[in-house]
Amino acid sequence: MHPGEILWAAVIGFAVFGTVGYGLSIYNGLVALKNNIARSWANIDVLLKQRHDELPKLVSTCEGYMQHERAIFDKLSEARGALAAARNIPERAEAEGMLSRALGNFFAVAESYPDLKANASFLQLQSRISEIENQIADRREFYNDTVTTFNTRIQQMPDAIVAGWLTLQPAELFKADESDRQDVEIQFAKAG
Amino acid sequence: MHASTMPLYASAALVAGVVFFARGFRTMRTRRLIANTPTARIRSMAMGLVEIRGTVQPRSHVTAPFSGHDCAYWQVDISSRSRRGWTVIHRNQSGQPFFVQDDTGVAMVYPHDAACTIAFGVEEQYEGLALPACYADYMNAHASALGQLARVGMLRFRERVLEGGETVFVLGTATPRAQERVIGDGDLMLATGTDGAVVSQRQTLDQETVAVVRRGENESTFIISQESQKSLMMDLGFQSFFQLLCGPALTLFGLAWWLTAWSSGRMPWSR
Repeated sequence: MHPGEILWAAVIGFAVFGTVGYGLSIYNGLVALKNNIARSWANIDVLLKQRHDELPKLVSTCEGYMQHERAIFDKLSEARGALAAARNIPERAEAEGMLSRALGNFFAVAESYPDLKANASFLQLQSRISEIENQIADRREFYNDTVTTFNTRIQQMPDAIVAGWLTLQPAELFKADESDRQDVEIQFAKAG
Repeated sequence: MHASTMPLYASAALVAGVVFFARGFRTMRTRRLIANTPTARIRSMAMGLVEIRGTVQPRSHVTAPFSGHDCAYWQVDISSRSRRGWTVIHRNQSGQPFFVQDDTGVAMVYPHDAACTIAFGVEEQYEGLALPACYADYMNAHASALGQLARVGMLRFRERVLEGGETVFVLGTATPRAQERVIGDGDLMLATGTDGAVVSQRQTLDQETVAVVRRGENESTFIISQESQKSLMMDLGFQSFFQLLCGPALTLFGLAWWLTAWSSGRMPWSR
C-alpha cells in the first residue's frame, strides 16, 4: 500500500469514527433523556403515594372533631378515588389538582376547630402533608424541565434526524388544571 | 526541533492524538449530561444523578495548607519546572464533606474524586532550596520522595479554595443520608462555650441535610464548579471541539512522519 493511501485511509477512518461516534452520542443522549422523563414521573409517583398513605391518618384524626363536615370528607375521598383511577398524564394532573384543592379546603375548614388545631397529631400530619405538597410541586417543575429539554432536543438539528429514525414523539407536560388557576372558594357548613 | 528527537515526537503524536480523540467524546458526553439534567431543588431532589446549585457552608473546621484560610474545601498541586514546562509532582485535596444550601434545603457533598473547576487562589513560584515555611513544612509532611528530590529546582505551588458563602454548581449522585450522630470538633467547642453560634449553625445544617451527594458507583461523573452551568457547558464544548479536531490532526502528523520516513528508507534504526 502506498503511504499516501494509508494516510487517506486514516483520514477516512477518523471521519467515519467521528461521524458514527457523534451519531451514537446523540442517540444515547436521547435515550437517556427519555428515561429521565420516565424517572422524573416515577419520582412524582413516589411522593403521591406517600401523600396517599397519609390521608387515612388525617381523616381518622379529624373525623371526631369535624362531624358536621361530611361534604369535605366526601370531596377528599372522591379525589383520592380519581387519583387511583387516573391512567395517563392529563388524567393524573387533573386528579392531582383535585386532591390538592380538596386538601386546601380541608385545612382551611379545620382552622375553625380550635380543639383540632391544638391536636398534636393533626399538626404533625398537616405539616407532613404540606411538606409533601411542596416536594410534589418541585418535582412537577423538574418533570416539566426534563420534558422541555427532551421536546426541544428532538426538534433541533442534528438531534431531529436521529429522533426521526427513532420515531420519538414530544412528551406531555404536567399542566395545571384550569380550576387550579382560579381562586379557592371555601364553604363552611352551617351549624345545627 | 532536533532531527534525532523527531521519531519520539512523531510516536507521541500518533498515540496522543488517538487518546485526545477518545477524550473528546468523553467530554462531549459530560457536556450532554449537564445539558440533559435540570437543576433540582435540594428539598425534593430524588436519589440518583442530580444537579444542584447553592451556597457552600463548611461542615467542620478546615484550613487551606498554603494560605491558611478557613474554608470548606481545598485542592493543591506542586509542580517542578523541566525543559518542557511544568510537571505536577504532587496533588492533594481535603476530604472533609461540606454543605450546599439552596433556598429549600441542605445537602452534604463528599468532594472526594470530584472534578473541580475552581479558580486558583494561590499561585507562587520559588527555588526549591529557599522555600517559605508554609511550603517547606507542607513538602516535608506530604510530598513524595520524588517531590523531595525536585526541591533542587524551581517549584510552583497552586491552591484552590472553596470558602463558605460561595455559590457552587454540583453534578453528582445523591444517596440517602445515613442516620448517625457524628461527634466532631464542634461538640467540643460547644461544650467549652467556644464559637457557639457557628457550631450551632453547623449542627442545624447537619440535622436538616436531606441527602449526600458524591461520586456514584454506576455514574462516575462528579463535578464541583464555581462557574455557572452555561459557562461550564461552553468550556466543555470548546474542550471537546478542540480534542475532536486536534486529536486526529496529531495522529495524522505522527503517521505522516513515519510513512515519509518509511517510504524514503530513512527509518531511525536504519541509520
